[in-house]
Amino acid sequence: MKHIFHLYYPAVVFLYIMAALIFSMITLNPVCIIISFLAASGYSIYLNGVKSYLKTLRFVAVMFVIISIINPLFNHNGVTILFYMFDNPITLEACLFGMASGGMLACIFIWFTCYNKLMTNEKFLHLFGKAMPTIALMLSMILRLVPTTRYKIKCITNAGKAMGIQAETRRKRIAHGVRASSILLSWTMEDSIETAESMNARGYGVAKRTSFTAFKWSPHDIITGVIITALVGAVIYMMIVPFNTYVYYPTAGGELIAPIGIVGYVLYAILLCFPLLLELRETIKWR
Amino acid sequence: MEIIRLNNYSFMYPKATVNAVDSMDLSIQKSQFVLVCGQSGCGKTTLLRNLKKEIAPHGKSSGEIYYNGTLLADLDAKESASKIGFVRQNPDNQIVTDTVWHELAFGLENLGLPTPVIRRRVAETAHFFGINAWFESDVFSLSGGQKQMLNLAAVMAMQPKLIILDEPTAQLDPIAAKEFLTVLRRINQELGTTVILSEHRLEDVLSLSDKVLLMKDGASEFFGSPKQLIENMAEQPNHVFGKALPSASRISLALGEKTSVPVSVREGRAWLKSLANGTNFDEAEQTITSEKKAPVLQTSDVWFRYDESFVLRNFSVVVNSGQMMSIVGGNASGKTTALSVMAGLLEPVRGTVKLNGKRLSKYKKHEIYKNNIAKLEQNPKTMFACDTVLADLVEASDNEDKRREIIAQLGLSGLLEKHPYDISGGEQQKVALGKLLLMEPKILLLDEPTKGIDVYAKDELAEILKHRCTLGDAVVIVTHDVEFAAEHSDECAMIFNGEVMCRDKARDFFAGNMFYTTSANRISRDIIPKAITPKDVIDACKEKQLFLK
Repeated sequence: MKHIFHLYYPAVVFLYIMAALIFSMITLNPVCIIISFLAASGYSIYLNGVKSYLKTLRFVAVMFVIISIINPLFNHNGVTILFYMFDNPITLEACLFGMASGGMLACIFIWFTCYNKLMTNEKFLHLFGKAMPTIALMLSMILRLVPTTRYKIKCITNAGKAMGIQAETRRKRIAHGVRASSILLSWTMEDSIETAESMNARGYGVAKRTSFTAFKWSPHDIITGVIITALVGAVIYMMIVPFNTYVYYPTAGGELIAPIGIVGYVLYAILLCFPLLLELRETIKWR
Repeated sequence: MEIIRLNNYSFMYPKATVNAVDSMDLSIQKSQFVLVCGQSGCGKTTLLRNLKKEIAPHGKSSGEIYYNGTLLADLDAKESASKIGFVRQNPDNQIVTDTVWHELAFGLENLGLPTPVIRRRVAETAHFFGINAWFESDVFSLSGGQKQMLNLAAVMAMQPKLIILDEPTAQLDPIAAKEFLTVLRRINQELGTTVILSEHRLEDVLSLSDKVLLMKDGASEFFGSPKQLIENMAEQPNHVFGKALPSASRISLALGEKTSVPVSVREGRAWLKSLANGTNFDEAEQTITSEKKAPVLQTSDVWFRYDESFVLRNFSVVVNSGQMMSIVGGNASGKTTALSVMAGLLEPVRGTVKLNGKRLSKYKKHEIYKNNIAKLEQNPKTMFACDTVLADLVEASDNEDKRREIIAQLGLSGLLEKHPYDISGGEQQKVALGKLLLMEPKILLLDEPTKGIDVYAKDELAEILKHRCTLGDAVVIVTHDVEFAAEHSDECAMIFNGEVMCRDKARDFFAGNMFYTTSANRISRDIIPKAITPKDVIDACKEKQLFLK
């Protein structure tokens, strides 16, 4: 499925997804975490589908629970003691902090599922490949090698299995592993000779390489880039001038919902939901 | 105008004692379509690679090669890279980058062209080759045919004057191969690019070419038009190359035609019709390899899927001992998956696979593959773990008597000291098969065994497999190769969309199909009932005393 935001210039996409990731990393404000979680979830569902999102969510939930439990067990800061466990105080503040950091990690994780879908290799290469064409080409070749090698390993294992090469004992398993990797090595080397020849045949090294990319700036990208930059600036400003202060230690609390703070939350939400809003506008336009 | 000229050119590999290319004189005109053919090891590849200086093999050469009047060795590096394109057999290994668009741009990047020029060339090339739909795809997700088309397109993006192709369709299924050749023809006809193509499947290419070069032992045996080639063959009825000719030509040559030999199916039909002239032929009988027939491997109602959609649905077949069964079908029809399920390498989601009446899942893993089932993977390289053929055979079995028997049976004695990577594709196939036979299987499962090997190697393979059948083994091959299946198998099954759509004796199977059938059947349809191989047609005609004196 192609989404509108996919088609934007890679730098714009990169700016947005990095903003989402970094803001999610540096804020422990519970409202911000909730906004980030909702936005990340919404976008992840939009990009990857419900099924894949639920899979991520299952993992993320486990991580969240573990961190929420572990933090109060090892961190005894805070003044509100709930109970004692093995003579150690378990504090309400440490519990809350654990949940906040668990939530933060969950957000980062979900944002990464979006990152993977948005920042394809070619976009990444486009952004960073111009400065170093050789490394860009190498990366591209490695990216090609990975699935090919995985496929070869599967073929070798199957061929071995069908020849009755089975690993019953650990010693045998190691021997078979060595055998399989030696086959893989000769096979890959043999193939790479052909690849090298194919590169030579097409003039690799006859001139200074240029780096071609399929991406081009359009006025649309510039406008969107400016809007995202403005939003990022505004959110940073709101963070530097701490409008919504929330601290966990020694006592959890702070001014969560100040009148000016609400503006900050709204700006943050607009920034994180920006691609979703773009998609929404597009859907309405084309209906 | 000449584009390529060879003056008494010879080439010898280091440490070799005979010339791989032997005093070759050749002149190829601009915009010609030249076919290079000959038995495996005749020096086709060596000759072609010598025409492209970047990938010319190391060794001693004498004589000259000229490109467009310039000595090839003196050609400017940039010009040589862009003006002479080269496409090889293996679709995978030639691809350098990870995406289609990047691959198209690769050569142009190497030449240091500016982005706007690359943009334009990539766009028009993609358009010409009809690859717009998968322009942004990852190369790993492409089919073999698409990959090879990409290789050709990537070379054509550099706007060469001459393209050299070394058996480019050998790894492709027949439909992809035809598509590839059609595009090649368009390149030649619409752009005037000179094409030099080596092939061992002449059925489709002979009618495309202007000139044919037949090589033997590194030397030119014949160089002329396809018509002259066939007339030449008519004078030497026992020439080894006769078997590689298109079915129509083979049939008519065998029946004594000397002057107007048909090449295509259409011409063959017209020729046969006038010869038969309304004669009523008897229906040909299916010959069965072995009467010792008993079901050994049985799948019933097997369903399988890798992800959401089912690859196999209600897949049911019975494999009999002493028989060769071919499973044919298009790309992505589930053939290879079916074979893996039958081999017990994949567990069906639903349904059962029974080996000798007992469920496969009830067997211990090592029991299945010891004296029972053996599977030959598509790529024999997956099976070579040692430095010599002999060591590889020893790996499979240390019983010397058994090994000697298999070596004799398969004719491997000349290869034993060689590295498995240094022998030809057909020989690799045989060695891999030998390794399997040393495990003494009762059921042989082969995945595309005829892929990339020439007619002679195919015949040898068929002999080996038939011999196994007479010993009472069951042989199952999964193949695109309709001609091979028709000529050699006892039974055929067609798999479509994961299901066995029909299953019949080979003769009835192909006689009943209209599209999915052999050339000989297309030629003789409605003239001779149930003839599916050139031999059938020839025998039927001879029996009725129908031949030209």
